[in-house]
Amino acid sequence: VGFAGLLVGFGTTLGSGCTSGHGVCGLSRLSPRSLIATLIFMGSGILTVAAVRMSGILP
Amino acid sequence: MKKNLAAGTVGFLFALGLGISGMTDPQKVLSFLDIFGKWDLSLAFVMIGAILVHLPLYRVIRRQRSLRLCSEWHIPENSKITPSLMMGAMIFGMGWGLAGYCPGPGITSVATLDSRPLVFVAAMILGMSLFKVLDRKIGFKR
Repeated sequence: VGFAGLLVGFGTTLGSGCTSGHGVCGLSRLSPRSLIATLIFMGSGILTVAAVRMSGILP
Repeated sequence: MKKNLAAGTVGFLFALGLGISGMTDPQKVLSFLDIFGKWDLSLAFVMIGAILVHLPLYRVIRRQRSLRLCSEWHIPENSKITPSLMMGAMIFGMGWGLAGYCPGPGITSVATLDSRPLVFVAAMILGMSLFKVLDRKIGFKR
């Protein structure tokens, strides 16, 4: 969790937004920046979960 | 005072919504991201629901001529898609997929006083500070 927190803190400041900021507020404003950001963090989240699963930690 | 009251009320509502919808349950969030495993798509409706509320409301709000709490609008104006934006979103997604917490639900879960959200939020603040330090040295183009 500690390492994940570091990534989330660093990533959201570098990418200027999170699930609520880009995903909800940004998409509602029809911001292209937020659409790209949302697609990327969803994609990288999905890939991360898949990678953790393949490494055998998740059942 | 009025501004703080508004911020407090909105924060309360936000936390309530995150809690009720299941966004504060890391296991549920991880199942939402687990599209190659036991995919639980229900959290997508939280985002869809929130957008369905905010999309029309935002348009109505923007039509107001006089503002009640501030003298001017505070709206993100940057519309350029930069490498920083994409890198940041990618790093954030990795952390999100590892812990099952994103910033809002993470901070909300501090109220449970469980060690996981506490460690997560502490590390998140550290990550944000780390970025600020690096940014001062390098100067990322946001």
